[in-house]
Amino acid sequence: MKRVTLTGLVGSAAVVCMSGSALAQDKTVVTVWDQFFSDAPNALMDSFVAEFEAAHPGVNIERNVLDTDAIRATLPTALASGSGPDLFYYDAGPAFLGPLVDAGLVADLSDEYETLGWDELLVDWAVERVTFNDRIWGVPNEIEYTNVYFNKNLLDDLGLGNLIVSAAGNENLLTLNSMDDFATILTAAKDSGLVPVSFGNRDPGRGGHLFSYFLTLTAGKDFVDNILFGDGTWDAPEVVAAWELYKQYNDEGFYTPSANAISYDEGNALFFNNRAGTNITGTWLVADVMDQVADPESIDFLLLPSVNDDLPLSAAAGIGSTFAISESSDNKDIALEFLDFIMSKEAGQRWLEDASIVPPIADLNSQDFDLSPMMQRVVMGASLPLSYNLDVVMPSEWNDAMKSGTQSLLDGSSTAQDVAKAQQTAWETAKSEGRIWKAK
Amino acid sequence: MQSKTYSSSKAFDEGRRKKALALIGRYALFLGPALLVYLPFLLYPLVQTFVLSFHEWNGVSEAKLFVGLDNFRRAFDDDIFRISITNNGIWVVASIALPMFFGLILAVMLSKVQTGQRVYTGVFFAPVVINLIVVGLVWGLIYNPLVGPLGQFFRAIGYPQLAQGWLGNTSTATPAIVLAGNWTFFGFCTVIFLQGLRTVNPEQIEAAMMDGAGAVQRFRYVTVPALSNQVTLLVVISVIGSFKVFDIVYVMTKGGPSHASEVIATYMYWQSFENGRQGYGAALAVLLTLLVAGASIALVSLRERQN
Repeated sequence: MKRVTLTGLVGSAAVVCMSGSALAQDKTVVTVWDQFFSDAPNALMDSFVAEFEAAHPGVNIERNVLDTDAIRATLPTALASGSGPDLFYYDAGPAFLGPLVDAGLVADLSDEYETLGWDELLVDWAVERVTFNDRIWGVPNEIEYTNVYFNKNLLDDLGLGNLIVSAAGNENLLTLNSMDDFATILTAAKDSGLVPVSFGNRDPGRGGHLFSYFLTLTAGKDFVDNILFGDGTWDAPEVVAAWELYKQYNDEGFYTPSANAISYDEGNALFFNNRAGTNITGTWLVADVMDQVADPESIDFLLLPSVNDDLPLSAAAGIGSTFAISESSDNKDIALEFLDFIMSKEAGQRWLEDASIVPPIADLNSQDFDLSPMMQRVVMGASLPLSYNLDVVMPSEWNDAMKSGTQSLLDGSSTAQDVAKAQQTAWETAKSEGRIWKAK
Repeated sequence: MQSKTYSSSKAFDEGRRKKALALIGRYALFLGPALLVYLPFLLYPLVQTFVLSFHEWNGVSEAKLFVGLDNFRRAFDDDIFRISITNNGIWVVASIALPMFFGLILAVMLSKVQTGQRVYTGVFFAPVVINLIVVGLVWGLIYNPLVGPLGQFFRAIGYPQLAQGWLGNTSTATPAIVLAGNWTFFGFCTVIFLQGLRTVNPEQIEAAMMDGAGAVQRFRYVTVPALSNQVTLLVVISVIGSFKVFDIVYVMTKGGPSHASEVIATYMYWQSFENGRQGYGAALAVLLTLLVAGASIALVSLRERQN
């Protein structure tokens, strides 16, 4: 009797398992690898998946959420071995998406831009960042640019709140009259015992953001364009001037002491805990500011004025990462449908309101959305003539020269000229090997 | 008669054949399981790495461009590779000098301890069993200029200028990591030396004493030579470990700042997986293998010649 019961149980279990398996097999499984590990974007992606699956009962979307280092380490090999995801969210640029495109591992989405209307929906410069050799290989999802967070209360305590002014032509954006005013704020913060600029450069990508920003202020986008697509060079005096500004802030004690030994998160924590007067980083930090600062209302951000009066108010900008589809995917159509679902104008509103992510949608009007004052500013800033956050458009050797430079300048083991020269050497090497970004 | 001879010879051959087959079967039985793991997971990747070192490959493209010895030539012109080799050299010297020196002193002291010797040995040995990733994280925290106890200590005793980011400076990063890494090794040296000290013949010590040798002379001329096998073992382990070191460097600095704490293994990883030059990374791996193998063979030969 016992044996019969056991046999029956095993048999029933097998039937249940087989039927479950059969059910799973009936569904089309679409795998998605993304980097939305922060709470709000992660929750939004989960709700997108749930809604899409509800509308498509035959589809099962499996998300694999990885941090940036993990996806960089695993995605290329996974795609090359044929075991990669159908849809992925990966860094754009010649050092990341570029080699995958060259290897034929990414689906060409140029035609889909027309059929699905993305060419009308998305801003041109963001699409250009995922364009290689005149073909479009990804769908950008986020506009981000560098900025300076400051604590309004601390600034008022220092008696310097009046230095913050509205930008000419856009009264909702904040700036300063000159970089001298910024130096005044930093000096006052230092004298009052605060860290003037919270800066953790153990991962030198952070220093790279500062360099991109300072180059935008000293030379502007046209200058960078002339290097990227013309005959300009990285050892030009304008580049050296940007590095000198970076170094000058260190020499004057404006950065966190021993910044090379402090992580990005530790640097941000100094600002969140009112131990630092300002934080030069980017709009990608807005959600964390809202979450981690005890009084988020006390925090705001400004855009630094250009060093050269001829240059417009700007910042170093990028698209974060980009969605792309595997060339070998068996489920391209469904992956495209899902991508179209999360990249619509309606979905854009949710990226903005629920996840504090500014989608690269053309003609975004911040007044149309339910946003915090700081997010309103982020949206407005996105329409400025923005320059490049360089690490995502440059080859890896050049990035290494830049990142090494951000660290060696801080401990005095190199000069601004050394770093600029190393960047030019790396650029020439990458150029000669065809490893640079060619949009057209 | 002839047919009988023939048949006995045939039977003899048959017997030899069976014996040989049995022998092969026995070899296969013993070697088979090891080869099943060794061939696909060690030998095949080793050969593949060697082949890859003569190619240029970004890790994803189908085509691998044959470049002959270019990757090796490039290594000898590469400043960061030179920094890496120098740092590996620092690791070798430091891991022989520091933990073996302190391990020997501790072993001698422990050998005199009558009660609780095992407890002390266990305490000194404890760091050996801690994963180097964990060691790197803990020591990273110790060195942290914002919250680390080392900085707090220096501030408390009135030397705030020493409360700096040791891992963030190009000139102090490598010594700081080497110190952390060797902290895990001195306990191992202590245990090995302690075991060796038990084999020292007390009669030789007594004879040396009767000949008027002082404590230092007895240690230098009787104890240390008796520990030569242990020294050889530890030197070989140190050298191999120092050339292969990766995890603690990667966790603490990722080879930075500005590649200042790079060792061959971290640089190889960076070139292969972050810089997209798998062929060059493979060439560095081949050079690393040659270095480790060469150093090990040289040490063991030297030891055998001395014997």
